[in-house]
Amino acid sequence: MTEPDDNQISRLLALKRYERMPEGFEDQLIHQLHLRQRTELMNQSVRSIVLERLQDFWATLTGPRLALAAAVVVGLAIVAVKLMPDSHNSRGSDDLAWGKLSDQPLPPGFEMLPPDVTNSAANFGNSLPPDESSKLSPLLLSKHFEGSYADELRDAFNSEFVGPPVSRRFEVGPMFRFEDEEESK
Amino acid sequence: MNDKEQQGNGTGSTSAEEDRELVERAQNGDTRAFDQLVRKYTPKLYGLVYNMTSNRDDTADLLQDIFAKAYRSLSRFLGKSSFYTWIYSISVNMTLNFLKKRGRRVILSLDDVDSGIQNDPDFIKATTGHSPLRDVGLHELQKRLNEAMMKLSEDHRTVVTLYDIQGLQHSDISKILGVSEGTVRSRLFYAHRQLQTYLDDLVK
Repeated sequence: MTEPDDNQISRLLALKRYERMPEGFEDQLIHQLHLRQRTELMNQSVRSIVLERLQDFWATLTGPRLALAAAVVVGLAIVAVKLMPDSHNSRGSDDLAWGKLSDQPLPPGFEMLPPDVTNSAANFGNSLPPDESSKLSPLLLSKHFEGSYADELRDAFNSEFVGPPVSRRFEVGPMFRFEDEEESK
Repeated sequence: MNDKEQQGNGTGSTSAEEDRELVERAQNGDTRAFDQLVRKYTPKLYGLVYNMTSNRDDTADLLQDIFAKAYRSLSRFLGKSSFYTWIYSISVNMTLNFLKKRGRRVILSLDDVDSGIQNDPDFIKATTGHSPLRDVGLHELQKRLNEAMMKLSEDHRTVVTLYDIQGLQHSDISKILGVSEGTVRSRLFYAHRQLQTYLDDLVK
């Protein structure tokens, strides 16, 4: 596009400056504005007043005022957090029950320890001394083979036990013999 | 002061000081001071809004809204920019919002033309000799210009109105629209090229 064309367009558009508004437009506009302002004042709802004041408040927040407002908000947040119930210490019903128990007074010299339930299943039997453990294993085996209780007392105290224990009630043949029986025979 | 400056804010520092004083008085509750501002800026803003909407009724309604909003927001006006830039920004934004809502529903209406146009050197030059404008009536010319303006996009129409019709400078337009001067120049260039196509028979 050439420069003269641009000027021609500009000159043509400049003619629109001669378009003028209707006679008395300004007076009419001011009159209508006054009416409108009065009507707005009369009919202004509480909501719009609050909104406008909030907008004014935020618009005037600059520098130190903004810092002050931020400090107030942070302060309120801290107070709110402190007033709230301590959610980190709240536990399940068992813990609540334990909490109740632990509140009970104990005789002097006693100490209430919290139950360790976390590894109780895995550690079952491991806490026994090695001797007791070796005595218990035949008992458990006998339960396994018999499907019911075997001669637990004897086996439990017979350290020379060989082979799986069999209950006398089901002894139908000389499949197994205990050493003491053989001796007696 | 060049032609653009005279036609633009056209006022210089005296007017800016006068505005500041009126604004301060209005902010302190003097409604007459605000009325004075309305009287002062109505002709300029009327031209701006009318040339963007090409409709007189819409212009009247919009001007009411613009001044009502300006009055409500006056307490927030801190004087960082001139009142002139501030009120123009409000006017342009509100008019653009209105145009978006109005969509393509456009009813053109023509304003009265100042008889002073008959003495305007540009008009005389344009309508004498072999110019095609010689055979075109004033109202026909007005209608053609309005139609061509309405074919422009809203952004392009805004810069053409502010620069070519209102006579503002690029720097003022960039402040009012919140865009760079380069953007203003670019929009003007493309707008003129489009208008050249629409008004081809008038500018030959």
